[in-house]
Amino acid sequence: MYTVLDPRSREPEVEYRGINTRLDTLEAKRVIVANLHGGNEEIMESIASDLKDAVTTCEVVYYPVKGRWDDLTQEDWNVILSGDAAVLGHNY
Amino acid sequence: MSRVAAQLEKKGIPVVLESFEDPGINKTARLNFMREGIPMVREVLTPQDTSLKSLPKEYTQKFIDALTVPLTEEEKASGIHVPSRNEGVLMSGTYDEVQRAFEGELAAHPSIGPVAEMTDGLPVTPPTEKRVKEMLGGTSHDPDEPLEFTGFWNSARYLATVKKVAINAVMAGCRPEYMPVALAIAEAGGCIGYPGDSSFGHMYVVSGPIAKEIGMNSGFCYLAPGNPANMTLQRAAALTGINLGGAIFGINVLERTGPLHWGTIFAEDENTPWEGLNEHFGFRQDESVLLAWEGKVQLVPFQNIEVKSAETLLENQVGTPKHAVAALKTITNTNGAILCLTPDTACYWKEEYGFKTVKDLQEYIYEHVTWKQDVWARNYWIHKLGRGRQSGYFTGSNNRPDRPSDYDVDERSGTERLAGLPADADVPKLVSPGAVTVIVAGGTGNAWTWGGCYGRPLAYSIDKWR
Repeated sequence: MYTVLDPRSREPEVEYRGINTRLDTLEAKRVIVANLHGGNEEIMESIASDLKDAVTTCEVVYYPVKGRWDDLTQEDWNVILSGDAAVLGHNY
Repeated sequence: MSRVAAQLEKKGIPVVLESFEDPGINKTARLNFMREGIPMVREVLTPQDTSLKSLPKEYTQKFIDALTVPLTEEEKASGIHVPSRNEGVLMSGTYDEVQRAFEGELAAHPSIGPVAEMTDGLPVTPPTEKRVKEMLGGTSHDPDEPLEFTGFWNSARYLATVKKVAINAVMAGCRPEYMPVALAIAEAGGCIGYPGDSSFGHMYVVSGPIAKEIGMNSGFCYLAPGNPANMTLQRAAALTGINLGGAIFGINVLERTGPLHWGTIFAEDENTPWEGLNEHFGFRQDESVLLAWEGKVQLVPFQNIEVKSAETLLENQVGTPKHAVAALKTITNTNGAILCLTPDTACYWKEEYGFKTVKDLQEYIYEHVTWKQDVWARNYWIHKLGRGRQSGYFTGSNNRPDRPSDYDVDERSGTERLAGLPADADVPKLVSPGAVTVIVAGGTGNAWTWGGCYGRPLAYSIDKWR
């Protein structure tokens, strides 16, 4: 018989909260479609144009970051936060 | 990307994350959401097809719903997430029961079949309190001394101790005298990725007296099995990554082929004609040092004539610096390269070609490994992902205050200079001479290996862990 020790590390406790209340509608709202991967433009561009077609009064802004998600600038944050909501991708 | 999504929720705007429908990517995202204090972010999972230029129309409504359908009670919940503490005894049982316990639930990505939870898939030495105590005899450090791991791309925070490293070293089959090296590997973060589809996901080189003290291989077949120190430390690096650094194969280690080796370690040969790697990296000649690459190391053993036609018997047998240039010109990564010479080849190149120091050879490689300016100007990594900037380093070293200055981009490789050159100009492919790491190892005779890597290695003192 062997009595063995646990080899794993642990993560710290995290205080968490729920996500933000959703919008009642996308009508007349500003939605930022942010491409965070510095590429894969076609997919993210198509999401933006499809959203615009589906909700014609919605201001859909396609925003491709110049770098990628781990290198966002203050300008990137400002643009994304200028929306009422955000669609992020392309997470592959 | 998942952390950005959670951060945006924390900043107050509703977010939906578009993501491939993939168990590994999706689980990693959920882990990252929680680390930001947001247990779940709404996602629209899309077909895992890189050829798609647009999504089927039904996905548009999914995005609209994700931003407008009222929250569930679960999505509104707040509280404290308390992860398992993973302390003390894991279990008691027979040898086979112990092995099954370490294998865990064998849950993983469906495409790769079962993956062990706490091992590399092979049986381990049972880490009993007695064996762990003996392993701790290999260091003067307090077993409860804390060690932190930051995971892949600094994406997490894992809390461990010197004792946890000893437990993993026991499992890997290490001897107590290997413990300072195992601790240096742990300080370097263990094998957590970014392995890439490379020959060596991670690589470590030991320079200094401890290599001989513990019997590491620096000679014939230094990349091959057989040497207990090399092999068990390699395994300790893998287990450290899995159990302490958060590496989960098929979840957050998602390489399309994966590396041939994982955590390869060998020793620098003491018969180098140049300064040792310990001195080269700013340590004393009598200090023992671990060089740790943070990921994606390609190291290609080969014959010289496979990269450049030989014109003489000497070129056929020994190769020349021009052969090394021909080989390294094939790499497209700009922030790291490796040249590993046998002691005989290093001595010959020093005498025949006048490389009096390692810096001389680094400078030669830097000057001659070139590509055309227009190729540089169209490079995706530099100009798309890098915002037009060359990068001299990779992942965790970004934030290290002790990052050596030659990690930075040489002015000859700077964007300002290269952007002004004509399209057909030969420009340096590598970011600096220091991006080339020159290692001397191998058996008697002439041979050399070469490869690319993401960034230079970082050097860690082994002696501090004695």
